[in-house]
Amino acid sequence: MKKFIQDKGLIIGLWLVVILIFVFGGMYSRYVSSLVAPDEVENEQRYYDKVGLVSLEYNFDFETFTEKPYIATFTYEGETLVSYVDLTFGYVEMITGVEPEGFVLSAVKHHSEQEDILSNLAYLISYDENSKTLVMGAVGFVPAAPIQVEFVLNDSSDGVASYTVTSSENYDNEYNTAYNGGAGPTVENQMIDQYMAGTYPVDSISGASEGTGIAMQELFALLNLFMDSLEGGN
Amino acid sequence: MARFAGGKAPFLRIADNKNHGTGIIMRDFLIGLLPVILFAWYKNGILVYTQGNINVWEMFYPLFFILMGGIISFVMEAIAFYMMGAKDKESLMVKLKTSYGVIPGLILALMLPMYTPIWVLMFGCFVANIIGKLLFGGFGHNVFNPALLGYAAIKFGLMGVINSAGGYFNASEVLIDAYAGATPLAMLSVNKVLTYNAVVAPFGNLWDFFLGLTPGGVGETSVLLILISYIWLSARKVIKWYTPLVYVGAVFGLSWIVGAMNGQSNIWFPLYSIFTGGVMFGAVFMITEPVTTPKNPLGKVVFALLLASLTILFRFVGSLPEGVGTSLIVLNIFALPIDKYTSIIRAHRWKKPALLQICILFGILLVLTIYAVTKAGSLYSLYLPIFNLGGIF
Repeated sequence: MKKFIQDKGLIIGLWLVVILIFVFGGMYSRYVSSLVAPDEVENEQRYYDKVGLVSLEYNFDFETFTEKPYIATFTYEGETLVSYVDLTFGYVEMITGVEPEGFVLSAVKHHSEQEDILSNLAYLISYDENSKTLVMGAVGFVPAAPIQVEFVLNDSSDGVASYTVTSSENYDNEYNTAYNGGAGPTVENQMIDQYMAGTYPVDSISGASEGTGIAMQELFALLNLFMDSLEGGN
Repeated sequence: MARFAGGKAPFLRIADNKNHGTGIIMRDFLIGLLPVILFAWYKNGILVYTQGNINVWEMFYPLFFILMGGIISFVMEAIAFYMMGAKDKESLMVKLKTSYGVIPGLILALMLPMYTPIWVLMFGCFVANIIGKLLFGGFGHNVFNPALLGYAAIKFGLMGVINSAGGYFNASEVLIDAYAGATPLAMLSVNKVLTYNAVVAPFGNLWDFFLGLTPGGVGETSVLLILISYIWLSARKVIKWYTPLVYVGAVFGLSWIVGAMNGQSNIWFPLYSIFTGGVMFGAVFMITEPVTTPKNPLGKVVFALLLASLTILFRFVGSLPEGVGTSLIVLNIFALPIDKYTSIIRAHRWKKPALLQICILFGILLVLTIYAVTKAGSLYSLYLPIFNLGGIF
């Protein structure tokens, strides 16, 4: 026993220190954390609760909608404030009221994401009043390469006269062997043709990915709202 | 006649007294860490206790946590040396005396959030001392800053565990609504709003940042105390005084440009940028590390400038709000070529034979800086197109 301790005492002692730190340090650490961790969670909810999202709407002012696509109305400390938010629902600038503290802006973004009031899959890029050309984007199957559609509205601004789709999506690949509809924008074209023929909501197209189908539906919904804002309407 | 030093790094001046050596340097380094350790204890323990938000047991926890970092590192190295053949006490002590195993653990603990569980700290110390240092051949042979390697392993793998244990906020900070569960840099990263009101005001003012009364790593927050350490370490010639200065100055300058490109040309933004995260801590305690950074003065300056550009890139463009640790780890890999190229430039006194090295080094620096600043300059613009999230622009 004495020899064993002489031989192995050092390494046993060192391991013992590690084990003691692991056990007692861990207990100490857990004890301290247990006192503060619930506060952390409650705190997060607390600052979200201080801010209420009243509404989130599209900004149809074609001078500003590119940079400020949405208008958020929210309440904080009994005041109603209105601000522009971007496509990720991040704060851009105030419309009415003084810019609040950072956590209020975080809360607005949080509520906008959680409450699912409107989708940000489709968005407005530009509108030329003279040529009645509206350029829109939609995030389909390939988020890195959004679909871009250029609509030319009719004279009364209540329908589409013509359109051009720019899409780099291609369903005709090794993963979709059953698909024979050709490269994009075949799907997009077919869906827009349905829309122009008066079908709304538009039926999904065979071979369209779920992402693209939903994105195009969102795009038509936004297009209708935009035309409404021009006092047209489909 | 000029004298040249050979052998392994660090190369040390032996001029002042006969006792001046690595051991003395490490002693001075530990003394330099002392103000930061004490402030970390004050801010996260004593102050919170006096505010009535914790009990006396909790008050000692920050100090315990930091000291455990040092002890765990030391013991882990001892076990490793034992397993590598130093079976008796004497030979083990000889190894430990020249390995300075306590330092990576202390620095690692100072960089981590206060509520990091002890087992996570142990894991970090294992990565730092065993993988980051001993597997490379021990003190003087490591490629990466050991503490940073441990930090990176924790940051990329175990941050969720730390956050659910309480994260960055001490018991007083967690009660402040304005902090919104985010450190200053995380706030900027989440909101993408670059105004004083959005990123500084929730945490007080710049004076609070200077004093270190803001949420962050246990020992990283106080600029004032880190400056005191900087003066001590420079005066003792433990570190080269100009390396932190060049790095912090470059981060300041580049942040100013980034701020100006986003409509914030006031001085608050560059000050905020150098007062937050690990810029000051990294500048004084990490980029001055003699083993994993270039040895010659020009190399140190180029290293600091490259590091500043990378920090801006990772911090304002990438998804890492902090940026200092990651950029330093990346640049550790290039310390050797930077050292070699700058030595050639110095030897040829910036003349034609060193043209290739000058073009390569300063070309990379220029391209990296321009890229970082332009990308960061447009990041916080008012419009963030959704397709940018896909990363194609």
